[in-house]
Amino acid sequence: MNKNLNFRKVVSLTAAIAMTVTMLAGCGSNNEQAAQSSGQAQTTTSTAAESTAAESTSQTGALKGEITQWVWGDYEKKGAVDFTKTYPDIKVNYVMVPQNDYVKKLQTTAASNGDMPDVANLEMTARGSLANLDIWEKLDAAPYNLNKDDLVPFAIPISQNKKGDIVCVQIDNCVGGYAYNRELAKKYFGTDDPAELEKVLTNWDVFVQKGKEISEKSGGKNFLFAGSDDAYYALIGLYTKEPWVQDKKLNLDTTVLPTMKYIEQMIKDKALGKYVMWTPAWNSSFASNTVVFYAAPTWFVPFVMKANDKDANGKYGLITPPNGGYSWGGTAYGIPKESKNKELAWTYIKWFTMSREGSEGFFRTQGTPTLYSKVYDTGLYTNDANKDPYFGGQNIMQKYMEIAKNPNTQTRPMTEYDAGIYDSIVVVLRAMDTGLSADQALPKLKADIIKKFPELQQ
Amino acid sequence: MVKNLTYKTGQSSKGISSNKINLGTKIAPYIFISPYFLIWIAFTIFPILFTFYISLTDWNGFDKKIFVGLQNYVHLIKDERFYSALGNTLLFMVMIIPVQIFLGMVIAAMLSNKNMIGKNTFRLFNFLPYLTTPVALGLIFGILFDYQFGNINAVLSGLGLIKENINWLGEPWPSRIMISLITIWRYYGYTSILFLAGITNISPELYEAGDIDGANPVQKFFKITVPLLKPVFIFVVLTTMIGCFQIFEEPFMMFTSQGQPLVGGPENASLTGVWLMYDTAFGTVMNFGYGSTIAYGLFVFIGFLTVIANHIMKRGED
Repeated sequence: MNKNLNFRKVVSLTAAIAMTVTMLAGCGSNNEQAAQSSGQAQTTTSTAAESTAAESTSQTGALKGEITQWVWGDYEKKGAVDFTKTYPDIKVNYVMVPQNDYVKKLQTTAASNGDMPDVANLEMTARGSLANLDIWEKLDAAPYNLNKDDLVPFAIPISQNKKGDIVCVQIDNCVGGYAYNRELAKKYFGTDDPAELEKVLTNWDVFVQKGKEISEKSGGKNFLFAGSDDAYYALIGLYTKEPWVQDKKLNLDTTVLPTMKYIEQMIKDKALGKYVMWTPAWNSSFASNTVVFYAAPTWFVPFVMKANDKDANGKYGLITPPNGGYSWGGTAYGIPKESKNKELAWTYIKWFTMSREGSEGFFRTQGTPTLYSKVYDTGLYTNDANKDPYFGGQNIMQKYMEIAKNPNTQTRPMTEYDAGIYDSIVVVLRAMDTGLSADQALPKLKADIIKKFPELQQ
Repeated sequence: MVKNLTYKTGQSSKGISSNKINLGTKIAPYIFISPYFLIWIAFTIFPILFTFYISLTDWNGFDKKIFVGLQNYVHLIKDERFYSALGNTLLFMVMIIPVQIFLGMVIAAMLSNKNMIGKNTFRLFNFLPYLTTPVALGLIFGILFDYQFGNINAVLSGLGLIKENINWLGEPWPSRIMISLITIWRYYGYTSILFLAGITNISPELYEAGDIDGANPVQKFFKITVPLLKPVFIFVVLTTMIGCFQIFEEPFMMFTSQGQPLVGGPENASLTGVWLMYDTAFGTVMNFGYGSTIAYGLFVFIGFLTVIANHIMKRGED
């Protein structure tokens, strides 16, 4: 009887433990399930059959088969339409995976020994974490033998893992300039001409000083930048030579602190608006005519500015930042070691990122140049057809190409900690918005990072 | 002899058949319930045990698992983020449970009033927030609590209650208050349904006796409804407590669905235990092993707190 009772107790206890842990586990897995289900929800195919060029002679008859790429939009499908003309026997299957869940999808697929894609997208935010995993083919080694000269120099650090191997190739050139509101520029700088404006804004100290003037003259109604996030991105090109972590030690005093000091000064001067980036309020700031400058990389123009401020022809201009330039964002393509169609995957990536045809297709459909250096002097991006009425007829692609060729336009070497460090930077920026100084913020930032990654040292 | 043999054979075959029936009768229920238990073992017991195994490893999902023994648990005991998350969760409990239970009980009492018109409609309205999807929640409340253009700040400012806009999404305490309000809004309807079920079980004769004795509605509520709802009350407090430890969707959606993702909220003020687990396993840290350890740490803490709370409330009952 007693034994029976004990057995029942054990069973009840096990059941209770199981149920409680299930409730906990269920809580954390909701998004994962959603990601997986949505990831599996849509599969689109771009085949030779869709192309009128299917009847044309194949340049590479030997290459035949199917590859799968996980994507979060239709950029690849649209941009690679011509790929099927050149390689009619290679079928590309595009599987939709939400961008926010992309890393989780890769992670859970690898953990469960599922089928990895033949081509995976490595978005800039998570690239440091992903690229440093030993799951990618080395593209600068045989049989791929990527030629680094095919890419613009600043593309190399954002394609490498910490060993220096190239494990992915970024498709889009995401160099950034500063877009400005011409009307406000005329009001506060006396000119709306990009060249004249660049002559005034020669360095960052002048820039910050002008922010103070804008705030004072407008009675706090107009701002240099929309908020501290915008200022952070505007400044990221300043200190890019060193990585955020060196030999397991945080390296933020020389890479992040100077940026934070500028931001502190701008907050003190009330030169920054209180818009938090990507919120509906921030989106509406474009049409509000209260913000003078936006950090604007190439993708920012079609996907952010024109989307949030339609009917604004002639309203904006574009200048080179005081320090020369920066790169913000971007998506790279890599080949997982588990891919069963590596040769086809490489053919696709090489065509897309390092060929004239691929560059033309991507620019035509996405309005963004690739990082393929061989087309930079051919006029593909800089011809007069690219003069943009939205920017008052300014040839902004010419400006972006100038920035891309500027030797000061560099990208920071990536580490696997970058995404976690960036999350902590955002936390600290929010605290700075409410009065925390840069010197107070730095120890907080370091402490927050060390809590996440205890293997690092301050 | 032949007769005997026939008889014996008959008896024997009857015995086998009877045994078969008995055996069948005994096995059948197990066969019928086995699908549930097989699924339960596959999708509950196995993940729980596997999670425990993972918690003893260093594993990011991509590389090979490295067995580290209890190292993750030793780290958990020293982990400031874990304690900070538990602290935040305890604060949420204090801010949420009293209000949610009070609201749930009062609304249940009102909805159980026999004179009330449109009872079912109100019951539906009450329950609707519980059905709101987290994505919609993040979007709606993100707009409502926006620092510059949010309706909440506009109303508070219009009423003269605040001089400067409150940065709900950017400062620690306002963010905690915001998350508490959203959680209460989302779950009070569910709580009221539980109380409503409890009230329905109270015999109408008691209220009739109260009427005869001249009790007014408030007296009836406090002298009849509240004491008889004590078992439901204990159940609701315990499940709400456990629910508070599982708060994840509300802060996660508020701080990551729009705007710059702010993991943990301002100064990690809204980082809860489950969010910490999620961020560790699936977020930027990408550590399945330590994420699983956090899950087990939470389980132990919740179990411990639940036992204490149950003990205190039952002692009160005695």
